[in-house]
Amino acid sequence: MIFAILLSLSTSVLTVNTANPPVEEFFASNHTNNWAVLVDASRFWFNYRHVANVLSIYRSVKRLGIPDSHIILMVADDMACNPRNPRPATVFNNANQHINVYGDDVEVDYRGYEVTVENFIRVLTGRLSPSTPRSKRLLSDERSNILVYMTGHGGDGFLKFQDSEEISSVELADAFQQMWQKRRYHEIFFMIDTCQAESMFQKFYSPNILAVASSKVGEDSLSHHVDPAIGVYVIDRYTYYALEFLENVQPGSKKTMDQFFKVCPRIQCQSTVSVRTDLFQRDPKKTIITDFFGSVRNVELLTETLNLQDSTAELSCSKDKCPEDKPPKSGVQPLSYAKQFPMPN
Amino acid sequence: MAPPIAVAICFTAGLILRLSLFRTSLALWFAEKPEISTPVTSWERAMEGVALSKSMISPYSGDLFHETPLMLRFLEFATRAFPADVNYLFVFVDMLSAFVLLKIGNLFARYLLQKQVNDIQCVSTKAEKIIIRKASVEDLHLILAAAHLFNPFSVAVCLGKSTAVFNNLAIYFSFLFLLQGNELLCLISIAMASYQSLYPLTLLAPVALYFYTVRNPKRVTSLSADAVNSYVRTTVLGLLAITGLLVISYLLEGSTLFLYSTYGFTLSVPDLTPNLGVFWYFFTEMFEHFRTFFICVFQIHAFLYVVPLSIRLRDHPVFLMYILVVLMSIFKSYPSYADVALLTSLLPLWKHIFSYMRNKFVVTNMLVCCTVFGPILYHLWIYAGSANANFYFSIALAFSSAEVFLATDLLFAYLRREFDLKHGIEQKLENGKIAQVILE
Amino acid sequence: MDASIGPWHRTRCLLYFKIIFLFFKVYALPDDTFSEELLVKPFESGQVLFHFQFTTLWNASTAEPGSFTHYRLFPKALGDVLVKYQVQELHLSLTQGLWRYEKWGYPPEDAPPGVELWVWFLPTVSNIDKTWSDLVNALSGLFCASLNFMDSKSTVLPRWSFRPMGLASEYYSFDSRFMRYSALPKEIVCTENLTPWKKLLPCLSRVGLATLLNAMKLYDSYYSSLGIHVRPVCRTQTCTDQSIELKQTLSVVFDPTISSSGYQNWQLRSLFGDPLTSQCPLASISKVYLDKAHLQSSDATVTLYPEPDEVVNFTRGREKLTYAVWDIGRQISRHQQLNLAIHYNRKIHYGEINPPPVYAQRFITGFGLEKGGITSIIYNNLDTNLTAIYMETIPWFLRLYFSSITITNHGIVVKPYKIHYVPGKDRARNYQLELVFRLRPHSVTKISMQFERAFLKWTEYPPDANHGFYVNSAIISTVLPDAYNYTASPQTSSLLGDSTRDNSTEFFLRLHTETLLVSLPTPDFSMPYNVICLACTVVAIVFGSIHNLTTRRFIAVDPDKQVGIIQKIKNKFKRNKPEEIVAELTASESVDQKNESDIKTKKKEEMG
Repeated sequence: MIFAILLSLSTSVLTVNTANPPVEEFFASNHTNNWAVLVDASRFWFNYRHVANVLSIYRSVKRLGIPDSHIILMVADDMACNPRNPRPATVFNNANQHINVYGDDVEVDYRGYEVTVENFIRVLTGRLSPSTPRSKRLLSDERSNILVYMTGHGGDGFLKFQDSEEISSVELADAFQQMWQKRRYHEIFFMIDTCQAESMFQKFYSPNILAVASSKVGEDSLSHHVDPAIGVYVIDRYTYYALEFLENVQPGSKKTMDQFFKVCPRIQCQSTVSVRTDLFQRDPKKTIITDFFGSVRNVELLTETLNLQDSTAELSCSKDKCPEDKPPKSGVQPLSYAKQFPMPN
Repeated sequence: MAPPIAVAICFTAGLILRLSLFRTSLALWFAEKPEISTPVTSWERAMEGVALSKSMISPYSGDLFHETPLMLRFLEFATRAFPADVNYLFVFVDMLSAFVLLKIGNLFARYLLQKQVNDIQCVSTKAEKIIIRKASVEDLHLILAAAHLFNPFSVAVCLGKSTAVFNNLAIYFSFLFLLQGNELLCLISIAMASYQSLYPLTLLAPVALYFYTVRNPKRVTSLSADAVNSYVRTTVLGLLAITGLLVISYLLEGSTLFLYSTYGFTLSVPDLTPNLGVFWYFFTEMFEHFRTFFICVFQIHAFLYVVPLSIRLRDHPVFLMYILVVLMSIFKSYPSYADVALLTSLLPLWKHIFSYMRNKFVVTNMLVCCTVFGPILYHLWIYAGSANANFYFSIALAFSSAEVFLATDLLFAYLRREFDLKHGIEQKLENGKIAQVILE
Repeated sequence: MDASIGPWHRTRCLLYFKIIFLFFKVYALPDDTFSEELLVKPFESGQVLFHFQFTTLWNASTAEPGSFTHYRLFPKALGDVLVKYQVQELHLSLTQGLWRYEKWGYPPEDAPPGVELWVWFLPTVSNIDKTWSDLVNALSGLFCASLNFMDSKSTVLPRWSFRPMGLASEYYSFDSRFMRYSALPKEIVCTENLTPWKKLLPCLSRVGLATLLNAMKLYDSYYSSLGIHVRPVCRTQTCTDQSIELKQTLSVVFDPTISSSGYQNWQLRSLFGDPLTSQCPLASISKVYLDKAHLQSSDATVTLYPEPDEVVNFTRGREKLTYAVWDIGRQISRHQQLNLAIHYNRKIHYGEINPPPVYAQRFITGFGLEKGGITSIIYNNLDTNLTAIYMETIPWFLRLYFSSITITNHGIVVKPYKIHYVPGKDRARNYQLELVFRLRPHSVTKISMQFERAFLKWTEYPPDANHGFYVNSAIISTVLPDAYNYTASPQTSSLLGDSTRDNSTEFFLRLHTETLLVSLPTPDFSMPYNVICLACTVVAIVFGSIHNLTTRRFIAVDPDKQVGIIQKIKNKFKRNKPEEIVAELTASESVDQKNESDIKTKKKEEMG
């Protein structure tokens, strides 16, 4: 608490400096916090690559500073500890095992059967049951920049979830609109790697959404390469190159979204990366990539001075002085351990 | 009148058939068939209830037992009294049913002739050919008994120890007492059947119509105050009988838990085990939002047709009762061969209208094919794994369709014959041509 | 304090801890202790068990929420949950793999494959069902597991099988209303569960024994099990006050014979990737124990590196045991690291392994997708009668026949002393069975029961419907007179090392059998529209026919004047279409005919 007071004092001292042009530019994006919702909608071992996709993005956003508490990771199947995985507790982006995208401190928020369209929409719109823990909630506000990444098997206007249900582009667009109405975001960067991916963002109509998809309508998104050791394709082309690009981004990087959109040209992807910028009010060329992939820790400056009272004084009490401390019990019946086996032997 | 020796041979053969088949493994095989043992009639489930009740656990707290409390008491008694010979109980019930059918045959023949005499003013002179002769109905009782004793469906149901045989017996009794003119016993039989399986409630309508005609043979209209009085009286009596049974059950059980396990289970169709009907797959594949709506729609159908049919067949209550029995077996939530056995055993009552039926051949073939293919496709789906649910559903669908065709064809034939009775067969037009009869 | 440490350098981390230490020394007396222990047990079968136990004791009680204020060693994330949901005891295990009782004896903490959670709530909780559902949701967030699937459908109230492990009054411990048990046999356990588990440790995984917990190694094993056990324990010998005990356990079984080409040799570096180089500065006890039971029995010479600090010989029950003990702090100050290693001078000799006194097997019987059965076989190799409690929870879609439950011992029917049976309810409650019966000496007892597979609605099947459905482990509880192959620590103590001072004569044993995988018949998931249409058609036929026959009359008409259906259609056609079109159509027809005849003639010519 003392530290907190010192901190607040120091910030109030800082308020003397009024904002100057470079600082304005620094706050250009107007957001104060970053969130990421990363969804792998595919189950079954042969969809290993979709898990690798989503974990690639997870790895990048985590590396660039979004904490686990601000990442909602939905993975429909367990590839890392799957009995078919010869290297347990790992998911690699590459047959040569360059990067273990699973890492050793992953936190999956929704997994297995929990990855449903309903849960996804509920997370986005915040309409979860009251007992849902914080780690499973998207607690964003009107100053949040949200990265939404989805991968799975899709078609024109839909994305399949676990091969048993699907989310349509209209449902997704409506969910984003509801988020906008509820002031749950400032800007959204929507990224999707699936077949005919472009169709998923064509129906968006809410403001401040920047979207990129791995393929145009009518095109398939292809996987990158197969790992003979595990017998399945390990990653999709678009995400593979996106990860390659993101690996070179550092938290302080000034790379822009526009540069990111140029990732994976047709010759590499064999599908056309499609971008939608009309809903987005800023210029992607001036939007830095860490606005979505990183976490900003900008400080908002107050112009007035706050007087904080030291409320810790009452709470802190030593062992012998604390008023609520009961005197040691005397003459109390001794407690005993419960009998483990309630039957006569 | 058939010689008593023929009746005796028939009964002996039926008895030997059942007793000898009970010694084969066929009995166990039948007991496992979904067409015979539905959740509400399965002997295994009934015995589970008895076992639970013996261990002081209410059978209605689980979801396996769906018999009524009185039935539970009866089964408890039966298994305690003849622990090893419960098979004989089923043979006995079957033979008793055959005996009741024998009686029904006699009475119905008399009823048909009597009715013909009563309605003689309305019969056209040109309808001589289709007038029922005494000789043609003389053997009706024997045919009925034989139709039950050698009915493969009845035999299968008896061997499978389906508890529906008790229900069927109650319905046979209601026919018997109806034809005997014993209103109280008839209503009690219907009350027993309804108490067991809910749907026979619809039979109150023909009974009410019948007893009004019995009381007022020379009635003018069926909608006079007198008539309505009579209907209400009969219906209220019937409902009172059912209420009485329910009250007794409540007193025995001490809770209303059994209501959900029996009637709730029948009405809301939570068990989707395959059977002869279309409910199971329909509600397996139903979208969750529409489930309640469609359950209501399907259940309403089970009771809906009472009204138009009662109006149309107000002068023919026995036929109305039979048609309702057939419709019941179509719209029941858990139909089984027991229902088919019931309707096929009673079918010979209407042999005088068979000549008017148009789909006899199709319906017979459909029933035969479905009966043969049903177990095969079920085996392929459940055991061999080489077919899927659709295969068996197609059989259930075809079987239901066959029953539908049978019901509508019978209704058509009956009405067509009535028309001919009134106007004479082969009506001539003014120009001397033979007229064509169509539905307007 | 916990999450922010991440990127810091290790030395700075240590410094940080020391600062906290000083801070607390000034403001509050330490009323909590932490200890880290590792029990190593090589098995005859060649595998080796590593059982980590991290114990935090704190002079607090969930019954007095006020005592949960100044967290020091106890994890706040868990403490808040315990206080908020008024938990008296909580036992959670997340396990991958099946414990092989026949080969490995009894584990220190028994756990079924998947997730198991059982909780005793304080008697003050008003709505236990609601509290339970909130608690499992909170825990699912805390441990990244799908614990929220532990709904009323899969939760039971065992009557006898689970008693409180800690302090509890007699009256309370016999009232199973305060208790909830649930298990998810299908749940997969992986790094995402280990990460939050490690975050509960006061030293995280930066220093101390926890540095060995490398996910890539832990999940490349035969068996790995995470556990969280919270219970109230005696604060002092007199036991007038209670403390709260948090036991975090991690068991892992490796097979070193694979990588050491037939030798059972291993060292920490080869199994965990790193040797031990630090001790958690917050721990009051940091020790490694090695159970030498199976080292002495073999004729091979076994060398331990480094030399143990202490060798403890003790008897537990009638069983003579030897533990080699290493004090981590002492070893590190001496050698800078502890790379515990065992060296055998000959290859492992695979022979018959003495099974433990009581163990069980369980399997599915029957064929086809209609009915089936579950059979459990319980072996008792002791000379004495044992009373056993057998608990079975079966999902509602396997409709268990109570009448089919039979217990036989070599063909003789055994009558259970007591039966607790709760029949299942479709879509609401599972079948729950507890049987108390006797296990005769040197005998095999067989429990069998039959079930019927339910047909579910198509929306009730999981996405991988044809994979099958899991059935929870059965749980067998009994009391052993001896501690042969028994490794659990005594109930009254909190530390693994206290097993060496255990003088009890009865050893409570809880076994979990195999989980089962059962296939259910499936409908065709692509059929809803077709089925709805077809079934409605049948109903429509009935309605149409009866409507026709009951609302219309028969009439006699002139067959010549009577128009047939074809004629009717023709008439309609004529009325609707202008005559020109009809003419045109006939013309085109003739053209077609002409063309056709042309083609025919051509063909004839060609053939000719």
